[in-house]
Amino acid sequence: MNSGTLKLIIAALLITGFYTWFGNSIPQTAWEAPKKKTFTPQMKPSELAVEGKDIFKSAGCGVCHSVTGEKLRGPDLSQVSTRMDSGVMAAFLYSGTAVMPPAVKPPANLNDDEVTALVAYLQTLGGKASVKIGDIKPLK
Amino acid sequence: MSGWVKKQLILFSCLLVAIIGIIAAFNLKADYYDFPIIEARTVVWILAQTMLLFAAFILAVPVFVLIIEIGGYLTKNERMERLAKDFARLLPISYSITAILGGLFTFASFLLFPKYMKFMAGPFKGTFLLFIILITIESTIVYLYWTTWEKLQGNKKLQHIMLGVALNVVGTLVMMTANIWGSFQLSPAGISPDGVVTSIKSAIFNYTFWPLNIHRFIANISFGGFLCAAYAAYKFLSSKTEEDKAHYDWMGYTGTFVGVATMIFLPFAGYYFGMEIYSYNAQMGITFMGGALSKIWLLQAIVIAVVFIGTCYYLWLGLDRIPGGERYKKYLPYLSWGLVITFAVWATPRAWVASLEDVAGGTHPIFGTVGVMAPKITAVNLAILGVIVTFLINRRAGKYIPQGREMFKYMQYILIGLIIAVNIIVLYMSYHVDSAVRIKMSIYTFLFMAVAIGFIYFFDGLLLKGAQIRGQVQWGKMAQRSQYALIIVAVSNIWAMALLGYGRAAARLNWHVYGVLQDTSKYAGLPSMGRATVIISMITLLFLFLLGVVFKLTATDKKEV
Ligand code: HEC
Repeated sequence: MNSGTLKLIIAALLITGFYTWFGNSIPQTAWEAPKKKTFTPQMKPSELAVEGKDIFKSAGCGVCHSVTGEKLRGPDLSQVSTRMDSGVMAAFLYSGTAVMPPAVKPPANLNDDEVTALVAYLQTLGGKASVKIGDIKPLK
Repeated sequence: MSGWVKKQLILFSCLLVAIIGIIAAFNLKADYYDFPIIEARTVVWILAQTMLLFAAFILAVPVFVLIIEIGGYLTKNERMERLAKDFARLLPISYSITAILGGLFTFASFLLFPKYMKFMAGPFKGTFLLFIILITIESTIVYLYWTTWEKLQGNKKLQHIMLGVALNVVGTLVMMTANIWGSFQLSPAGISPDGVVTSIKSAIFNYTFWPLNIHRFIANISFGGFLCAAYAAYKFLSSKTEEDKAHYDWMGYTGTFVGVATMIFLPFAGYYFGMEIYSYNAQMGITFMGGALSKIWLLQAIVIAVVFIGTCYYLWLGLDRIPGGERYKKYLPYLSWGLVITFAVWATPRAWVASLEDVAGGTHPIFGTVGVMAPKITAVNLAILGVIVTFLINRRAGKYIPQGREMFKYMQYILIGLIIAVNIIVLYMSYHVDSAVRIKMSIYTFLFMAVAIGFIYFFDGLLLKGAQIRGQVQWGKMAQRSQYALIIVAVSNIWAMALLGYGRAAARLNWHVYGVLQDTSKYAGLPSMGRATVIISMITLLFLFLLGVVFKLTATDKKEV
């Protein structure tokens, strides 16, 4: 091996080593694919709301909505249930808007039960959950 | 002739391996299979990315060689001819290695991820076939191009150049065919609600097809330039004679010039890509820029900073070999601080969120809105301007500016001032609009910059037209450390490409084909950034090793010729 080769190898190791070190020095979390939950018609609205809160996080709603009063890309949802009923909420989730992707399409890709849980959670924001599995139906 | 058969033999055996893999996959029952010790995902990841790097290399080298060959032909420059040939020499073996990697990749991905690959093979059968035909043509032209180099000289040189053009055209088509699959996975189109491809035309010309083509094409040329420079640096460091040193020093400069000149267009291609992703699916755009993947941009900023600052460092040291260069050295500290600051802005993460789940707000707890995209775009634009100024200084250093041309200098200052002003105004406006509009704005800003830079160079031409030179450039009179800068820049480039390759795949999250075919394997999630960087570094080193093999093999070739 001539000296040029050795120098090259050392330089390459140093720089890739630096990037690897840097990549490992920042906070680490692996991203897990959201798991599908099972829902039963017996579940109380308040139980659904607990699941809905998880879905709200994992489906990426928080990218655009805060629930703490802050205005992000979308409106703040901390008092959303004072503004609309479960039907309107569901309409938003099923059809989306020009900016907001429908929750039933990727990347959120929720099924009807999950949408129901999400609505139950949204109802708790400024109000009380009242929907049960089966109450929320896809738009025709 | 026997040589041709031999070269195609490698290609055909690789194709055979790939086809065996495809056929075997159609007889498999399960959706996924694992690979012992190193996981299935890692196997496919390493093979795919190393193959892509080689594919970039064999696309870049012909462009690069052709530019230099034409340059040498037009200016009757022997040195350029020698450089072009030196690089063309690498092509045949590089093709074989790419084919081997491609064969292995196809084989492994079909057998480990049969569900996914079978889905792709269905609608895209025709494009697979097209691909096979194109690469056969391509590798034949490569062979002709290389073996006729000496025969087609003098008044036949034009024929050889035409061969080079044909090679580039076919090479680009090969890349575009492969991009059909990659872009489709990211932004599928032409699909019925139950996930069946109904229009192959829309599937091919999906949202990100053209952005990917353009982005890859530009990146590849830049990549070729930087690799050329690194190779020159390596030769420079091992050179014994002054003559060799001079040649390789010049080669390093030329490679760097090609690399930087094309890299300047990359952010533009990147915004275009980003814009199409946003219009395809806003949430994907946001995930990509600020959610689970925001750390990729942080790392990318660091790597690109190394590339920019390394290049500038190299060019600044290069002032030493230009008689008269010392006059400009006093400005360099300002430039370097400017660059450091711009990259600090760029590296400030959009949000220090660990993952999508943690997203609460969009801004950095300490740096606030510096972390969002708009200031980053401004920062990178200004960094580009810094590199341009460095190049201008390099051009000017060895010359006496003729009397009475001050006006052109002022024109340049005005343009530079305008670029800065426009960037700041756009930055200010960016805080008041939606990100889709913002990305569009950045494209117009960049177009403006491209035109302004064009004018700066135009005025530079007028300024220095017929200028008397202070003395010949002393090629070879270059500090050793400048050459390390070149090597580091090239390695960083490889790393950046592997990083972004990962980013493009990671953007799909737990989807093989976004929104159409879900990844239900145990590798559906994303690894932590730290783990990803380990694999990216491994890929970079593997690629360098294979490149070393290519150089080694062609070096023995040289003695025979
Ligand atoms: C890409 C950003 C984005 C994402 C992601 C997003 N939204 Fe929205 N959402 C908006 C915007 C913007 C509006 C306001 C309507 C408009 O301008 O289109 C809105 C409106 C709403 C409304 C009506 C609020 C009101 O007061 O009018 C609700 C409820 C809502 N979204 C819930 C959700 C839920 C639940 C999710 C997660 C599944 C979600 N959004 C994901 C951007 C988004």
